[in-house]
Amino acid sequence: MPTFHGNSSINDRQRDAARAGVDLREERVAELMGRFDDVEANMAAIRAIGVDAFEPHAVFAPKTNIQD
Amino acid sequence: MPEIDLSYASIDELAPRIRSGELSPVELTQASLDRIERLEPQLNAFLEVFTEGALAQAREAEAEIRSGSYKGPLHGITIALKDLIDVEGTVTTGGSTVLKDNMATSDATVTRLLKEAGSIIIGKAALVEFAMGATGVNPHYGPSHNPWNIDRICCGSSMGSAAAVAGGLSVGALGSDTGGSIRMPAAVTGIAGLKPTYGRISRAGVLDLSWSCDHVGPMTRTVADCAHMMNVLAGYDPADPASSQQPVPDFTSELERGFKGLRVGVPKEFFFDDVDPEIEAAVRAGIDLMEREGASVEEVSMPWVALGRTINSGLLVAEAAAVHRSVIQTRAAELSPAIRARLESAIIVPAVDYIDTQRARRKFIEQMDDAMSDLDVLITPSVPIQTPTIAECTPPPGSADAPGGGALTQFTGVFDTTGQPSLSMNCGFTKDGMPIGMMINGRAFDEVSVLRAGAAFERAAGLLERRPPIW
Repeated sequence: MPTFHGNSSINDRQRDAARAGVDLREERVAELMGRFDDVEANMAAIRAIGVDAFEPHAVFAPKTNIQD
Repeated sequence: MPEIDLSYASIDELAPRIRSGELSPVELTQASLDRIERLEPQLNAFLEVFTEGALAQAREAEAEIRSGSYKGPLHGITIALKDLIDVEGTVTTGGSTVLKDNMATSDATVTRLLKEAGSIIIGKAALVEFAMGATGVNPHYGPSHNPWNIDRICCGSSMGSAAAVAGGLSVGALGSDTGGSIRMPAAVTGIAGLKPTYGRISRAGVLDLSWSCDHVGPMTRTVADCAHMMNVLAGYDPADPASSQQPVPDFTSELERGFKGLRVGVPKEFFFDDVDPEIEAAVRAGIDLMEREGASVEEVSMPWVALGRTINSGLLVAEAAAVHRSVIQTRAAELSPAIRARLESAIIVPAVDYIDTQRARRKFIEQMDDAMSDLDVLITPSVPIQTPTIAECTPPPGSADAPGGGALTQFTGVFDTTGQPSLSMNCGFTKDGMPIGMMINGRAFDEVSVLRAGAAFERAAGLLERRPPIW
């Protein structure tokens, strides 16, 4: 049986990492579960921010040459 | 001119002497190299020292000045570069053995600008692996030691830059700041470190950690010296896609203006909620001093502000995982356990969450802009805790985690989210003699007001004469 941390299992996290192109052994995923939970908790805090009225911050927006 | 201590003189003190010929860049550079030779075994500030190259640059500067071609305040001044900044023909390690053969084929824009200004590039300063850490330890190359107490950390990630400047090994340095990596080291070593507005200084030729949060900035003994470096470094660079075309002011223009009329804000929430009592007392005493010197001080409510660090962390880990994805896929075993664990765990962030983090950032920036619309600067502590020891911040062998230093980035990361200019400078000392950092945060592209407030505080507080107990 997989070990559960938060809402995810080791197999879930192994699959998440594989989707990103990183193959992690089950033992390694188990070692990282606390850190996955930290990342998830941070994201959960961000999901709680109401952002409906906001587009993503664009740091690489097209430039206008103000010297022209 | 009166005699000065070359190890601790400022650019303002050195430049007139160099210009007049009273002080040779060769003499200054040799003094730096001699001090590095003597103190580097204790401080571990550098990954590489350019002994011959620096002396050659110094001789060239000396010849230029003698022939009447003085270039300005940075001519002949020694500068250390964090070892994620390219210098043509030298290795840029990023503090990682993964990049131990990463030979730079050209100068970073900031390196080129410093060379054009006649600066002497004294060496490559130590850093946390991939600039991804707050505590200033690096299992590959060792920690940098704090000149005020060599058992304590310099913080990260620009730890060598801070140790070099605070220890009198280099007049100035460049660092980079993604979650606080200029300002935390500046705070705990008692120097000035400026994270300029995002886009103000080019990142071209500087290793990436998080594209939307990375800033390059100066670290110096005085606030005025940061302004001198900004005058050389700031400006549009087409090689950096995030480079700003905002007009570039003279960053020294208001250094003498003082506090009178300056509008200073003090946050009601977060920054003083859970901070070491000695740090809080020193920062609040600093704010009182500003008021006595003529600043108008008001409390500002910003109940949302704690989310700034959360957003910064969300952006940083996701972008760092993208920056280093191929390393995670193919060379993870070569990374230090702490960096490997941070990068591997960050790989799971879904795209929609990253995008919503950038949306939250937009909202956060608008809230900050509103809160600061009637202010020139916002004053906060730089770090919430007293400087931990290196032992407290060193994970046991094979482990990714250490007990100390977890709270260090709480305050600094807020201003990497917004991209506002943010200066850390010394505002006092703890009972055991360690520097205490205060942040002066300005509105976007208003580094001039930040530097004005910092210079005025430096004069009023009179803390510059206190030196580390070395050697």
